[in-house]
Amino acid sequence: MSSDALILGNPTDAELSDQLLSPAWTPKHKLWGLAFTITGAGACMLFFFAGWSIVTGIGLWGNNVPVGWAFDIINFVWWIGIGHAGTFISAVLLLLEQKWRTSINRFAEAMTLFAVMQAGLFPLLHMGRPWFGYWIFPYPATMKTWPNFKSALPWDAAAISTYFTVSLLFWYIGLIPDLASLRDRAPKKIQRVIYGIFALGWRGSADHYRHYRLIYGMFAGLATPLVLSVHSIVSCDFATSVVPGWHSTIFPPYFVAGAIFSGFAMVLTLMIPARKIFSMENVITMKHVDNLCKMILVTGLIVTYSYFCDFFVAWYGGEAPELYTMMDALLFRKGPHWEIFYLTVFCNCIVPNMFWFRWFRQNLYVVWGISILVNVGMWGERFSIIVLSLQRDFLPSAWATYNPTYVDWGIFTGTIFFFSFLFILFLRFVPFVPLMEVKELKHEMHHHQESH
Amino acid sequence: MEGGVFGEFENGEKLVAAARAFKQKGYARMDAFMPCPVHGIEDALGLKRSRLGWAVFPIAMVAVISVMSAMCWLNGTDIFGGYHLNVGGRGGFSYPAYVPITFEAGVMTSALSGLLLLFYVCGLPRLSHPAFDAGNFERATIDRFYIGVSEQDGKFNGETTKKEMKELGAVSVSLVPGDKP
Amino acid sequence: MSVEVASETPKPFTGGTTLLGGAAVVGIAGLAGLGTIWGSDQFYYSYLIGYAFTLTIVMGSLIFLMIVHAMGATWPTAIRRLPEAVVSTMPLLAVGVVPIWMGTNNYPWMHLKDFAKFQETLHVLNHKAMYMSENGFRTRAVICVVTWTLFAEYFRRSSLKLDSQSDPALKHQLKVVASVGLPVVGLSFTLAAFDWVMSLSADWASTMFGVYFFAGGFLSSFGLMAINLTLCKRAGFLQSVNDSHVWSIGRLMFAFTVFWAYISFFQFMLIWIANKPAETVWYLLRIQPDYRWVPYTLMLGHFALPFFFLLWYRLKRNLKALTAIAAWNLAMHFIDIHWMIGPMRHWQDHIGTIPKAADAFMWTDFAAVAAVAGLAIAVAVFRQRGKFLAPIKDPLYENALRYDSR
Repeated sequence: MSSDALILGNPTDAELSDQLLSPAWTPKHKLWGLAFTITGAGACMLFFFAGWSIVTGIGLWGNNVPVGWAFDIINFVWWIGIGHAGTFISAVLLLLEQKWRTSINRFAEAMTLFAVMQAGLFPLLHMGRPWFGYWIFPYPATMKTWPNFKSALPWDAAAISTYFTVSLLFWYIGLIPDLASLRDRAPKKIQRVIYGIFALGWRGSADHYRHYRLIYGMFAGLATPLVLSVHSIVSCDFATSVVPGWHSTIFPPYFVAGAIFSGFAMVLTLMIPARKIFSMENVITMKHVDNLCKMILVTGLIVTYSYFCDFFVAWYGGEAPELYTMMDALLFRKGPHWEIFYLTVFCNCIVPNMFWFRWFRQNLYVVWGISILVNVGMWGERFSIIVLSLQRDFLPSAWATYNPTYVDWGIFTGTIFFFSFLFILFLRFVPFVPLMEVKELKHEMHHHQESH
Repeated sequence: MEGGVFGEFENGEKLVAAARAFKQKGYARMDAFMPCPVHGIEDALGLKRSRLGWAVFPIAMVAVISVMSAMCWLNGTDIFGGYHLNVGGRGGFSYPAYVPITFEAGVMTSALSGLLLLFYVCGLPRLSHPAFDAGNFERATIDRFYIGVSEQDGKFNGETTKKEMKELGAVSVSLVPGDKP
Repeated sequence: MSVEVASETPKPFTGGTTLLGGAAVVGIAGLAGLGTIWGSDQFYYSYLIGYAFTLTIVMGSLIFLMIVHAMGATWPTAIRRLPEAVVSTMPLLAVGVVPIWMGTNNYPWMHLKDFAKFQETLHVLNHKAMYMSENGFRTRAVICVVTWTLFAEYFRRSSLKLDSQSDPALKHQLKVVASVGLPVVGLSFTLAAFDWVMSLSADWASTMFGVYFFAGGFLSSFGLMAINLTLCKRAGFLQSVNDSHVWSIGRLMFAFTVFWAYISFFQFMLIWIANKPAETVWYLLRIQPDYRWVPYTLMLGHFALPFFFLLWYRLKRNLKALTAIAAWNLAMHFIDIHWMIGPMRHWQDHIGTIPKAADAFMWTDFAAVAAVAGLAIAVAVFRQRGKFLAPIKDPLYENALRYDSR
């Protein structure tokens, strides 16, 4: 049953510690240096285009009436969605007592943090004058005005800032015991001092662990409804309006499912190369890959169900604008960019069904390819919802076609580089497989075998 | 705990057995130090389930109630600096629309207060502690398990406790006095 | 991690005569009560309330069973026979669809003439006439109940086979059927919700409705599990089910209390905030004088009260407390279902307006619940007799008993 094991071989605690901690001090892998350079350059491109947009104004983008929201919001929703799988893995699977989450949760949480950072950039840039960004928060302004708390945009601000803070703290709490291990194992004094400061003096006390575990569990309990609420609130940006194709009551759970779907795909996209480069195949096994594929299948089916409900009820409801947007413009290909809608359906509803078969789940090349397609599909979904609806509004005289500019593309690809850049730094400086929890799992499985 | 006698054990089973033995001998002020939580150690040391949740709950409730009322005040009234805002047919006390922010505030407050309470009850951050001076203690986060018997324990006696620790199978035993009385 | 398993020699279920007899008497009395209004409008709505109340819980149990098989989850094996007993009532509910099959006359899409003055509604009704037709409705109803009965019987019978011998091949088959079946059951249940309940309104539509209809029943199915566990323990069965299992049921009740609130809140909030006339009318009708107290009751009783109780760790591990909350939940589920269906009772009298009063709760609604649920309980107890109360030869059963979580 080796293909079903969560930890391969039988490493001692010391061996396991050295293996999981060592990326922090062993000489850099050549590929790592290359990736660092490329993604660093890409991140600079992001800063260039973002800076240019701030200095010149967002007229550089393709947005124009009636398509006032385009790449900025698409990318915002896409990145936030990607973040959700991290929280899902670390919180929901913890509450469901799914042991396989252990090796990949830190990895996924870091992905959450960096994805939320990318997401946060877009609304900020879209303001045009990002230095007034704080206007969205309530503060005693001299003009005696307050934000309109009945609008979905302040909800967004509350949700995203809470989500980022809670994810960061959750990640950090999980990291404390491992930082202590790093403090005790790192070869250089400077590393010991820095890791020691961040470890806060953790010493694995049993008295501390009982509080620690409760608070960690509480964070999981908080993060679970939080992850539901965040993408639900993001979906409210659309669903609270009356724009055809946007106003749909199933949007909140549908967005959450789509978010987790794309996030799992991103976890696979990042994990498959990382486990290879850092030789972590014994703690991130094919069982993990297999389970992630199954999660993609499940969430993909929920997304498909939501598409079905959305389209069926649009037809059933029989309102003319809704019918035109959903049926004519999308399904019957009368609107511009209908190809993206078809691509979305292909990537999100058809491709994941390959995971019904074990053979596809066991082939890393296939899995990696599908994970990319799912990411493309979920980006396409947001494009379909946002742009395709706005292009075909209530008034035919106001219809127009949206086309992104190279600045749009530059910022979008720039965030992918910046995300990868942060991720690569993370892989290098922090144990990306949670050592303490893997040890606990190892002991538990060992114990379990003995008791049989 | 502060200073006391620290004994190093090779694995979790031995740790739990030794903790049980000390408990039976009548020691009460003990702690264990380990790389990962060991099943059964809390029972062996007589530690109860943490009750921090009870402290977080009222704080979160206060946040939820005050944020909801603040939004009703700021968007729904003209008193004390509020500004009655009626946009899109949604009047001042549109509480369904206030639910999302209220929820987020509850989560944010619970998380922050939970973290601060954790630090408070654990006395963290604290970069220096007598335990770190125990022999081999840098392995406490890697692969060794320690029991510490506090010098403040009524039954504590440096030499006897050390002997007892050795008898229970400790690989190394060290006596580290605490900084403070 | 191992816990001490209470020593118990599993024995087949016997007894339950009082419950069976009592439930049957209540059921027949309910039927008799319904019989007095047979053929009237009132009959159909009352019956639909009773039927939907029972069906949602049974379907919740079926979907839970399928998820358990698909995930290969361990701990639920110890209590799996309880939802299996619940889904054993599916054949009865399949027969129970007959009044719905006959009741198409109570739906607005059968009465286009009544809407002659309301062009927009009429337009929508005409638009969907090819789907919402008498034949389509009946065909779908039959397909739905047949599908559900086949799945329910398959999972129950296969599990009973695991009482006598351990069969890994059958375990695998169960997993495959559950995985493939979940989308089928989920979709058919959604379409049934659209047909039977949502289409009571002439032109109202909500994409969330399938999920909304499912959420309350799924929550109640866990409540019913806790109640059944108490009954079994009291009768001397299932002694080896420990408080970790109870905690898991409690956590599921907690999670789906929140899920129900989440779904209901967002459906309401999105409709309220967008303020489209064709949509808000659904809620407007449901806050008329006779019903005004219902949404507040649901907010407090279906969500807030159970939520605060279930936050408490010790209560979630306490079967007595859970059972009390579960019984309360069932009452709330009835109010919830009633709120979806009941206000449509006299729709023909108030087309184009909002009524001043709408006889909220009528005695026949309770009679209908008594009839359907009573007979269902009798059938479940009857079919369970002579069978074990746990799949004792299931490959996961031993591990499930050792489940320890805190």
